[in-house]
Amino acid sequence: MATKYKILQLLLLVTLFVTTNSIQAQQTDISLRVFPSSWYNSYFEPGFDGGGLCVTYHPILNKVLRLNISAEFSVLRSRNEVLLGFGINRTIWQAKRFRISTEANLLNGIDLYKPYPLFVGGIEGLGRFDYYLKKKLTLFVAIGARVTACPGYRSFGVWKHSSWPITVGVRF
Amino acid sequence: MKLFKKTGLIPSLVFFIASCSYLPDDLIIPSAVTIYEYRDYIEINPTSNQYSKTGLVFYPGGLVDPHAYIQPLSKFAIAGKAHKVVIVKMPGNLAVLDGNKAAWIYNDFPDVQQWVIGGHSLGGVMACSVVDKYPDFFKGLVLMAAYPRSSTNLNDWSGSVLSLRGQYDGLVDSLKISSYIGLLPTPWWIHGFSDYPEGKVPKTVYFTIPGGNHSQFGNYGIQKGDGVATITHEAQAELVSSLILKFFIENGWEYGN
Repeated sequence: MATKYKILQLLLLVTLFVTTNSIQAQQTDISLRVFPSSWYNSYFEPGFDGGGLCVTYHPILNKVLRLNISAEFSVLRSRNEVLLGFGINRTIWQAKRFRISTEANLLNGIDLYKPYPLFVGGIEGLGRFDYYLKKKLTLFVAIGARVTACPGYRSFGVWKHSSWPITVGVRF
Repeated sequence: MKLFKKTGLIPSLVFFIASCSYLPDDLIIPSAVTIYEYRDYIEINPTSNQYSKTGLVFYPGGLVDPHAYIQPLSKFAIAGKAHKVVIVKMPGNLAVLDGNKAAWIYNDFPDVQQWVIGGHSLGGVMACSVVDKYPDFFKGLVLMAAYPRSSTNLNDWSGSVLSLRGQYDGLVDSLKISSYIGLLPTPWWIHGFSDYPEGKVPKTVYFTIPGGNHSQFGNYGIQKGDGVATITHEAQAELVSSLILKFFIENGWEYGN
């Protein structure tokens, strides 16, 4: 009985979350990201750094501007990383079934280490294409560039990374 | 508290804490080796640039930063005729996510003619798997507190295996190692260098490091659940290096056969 109640409660929470998004002019993304990379420290070597899961919350400011508030967990080459992002998305071209936009994000977070996590900071810029399945439901892809640095890791090894994040997700 | 539970904050925190990797203790690198750092691996190169034609490629333990193995493996890099050692960096520091990596690294080292693979803990488990998948590519296997998973059978593999375990290992006990003996070539237990079998006979040599533990195969402090070692990290690393060198010599790899 208790399990049934919990499932019902969870369903209601999800329904509320999705519907309030539409009412209050704010949307949410859930996306998968992969990180083909190019530079690390000061060396150029194309490769693959890993992938992650990202949840982004978008309060809509006006017809062209939205805020991005994101949380991302990534499994990367020799580290796990949690990043919180804050940025802005600007619509370049809006049609009936699609929307093209650019966005810039400031990233702050931690590399997950014991006995203490290490601070990571970074910036990224993305170009994004949204395809509208319904008025409030889109599929999107985004491609861009990202630079992150973990100064506390400097004494061990590679502490600066640049990558070309490729994102595929759903917005609701 | 209820809000934290509802929003999934507590499971997320537990997940994040469980994803933390052990950072290495301070790195003290012997002057006789040069460390080259790349995105996918760390190369330990004898400074003299003269080394055996057989290299060692190594998989770190699960959730242990690969730099934690530089110090202990540097000892082997400069032991005997000297060796090229390559420590593979794994996604999320979990060898299970890129277990075949070692089989692709050889392209970057044309001067190394043959490879022995080693691994610590989860790294050792995945080293067994890659040997199972590419049996002709590797000549030998060095297991540090590790054993093959039940789906990996190396019983009739033509290579040689050296299996090491610390006496006070609190994470991998001797019973666990014993229960997977059938998946490795014929067992041979030794208690010291004098017992070491001579010549190149395909077999698994087992050795328990007196006073050693699980964490001291690397250099990252004490892992949760591990026993207390009665020998220093330095002493365990020295012994491991000597045993791997003996393993190389007896199999004829030290001089490039």
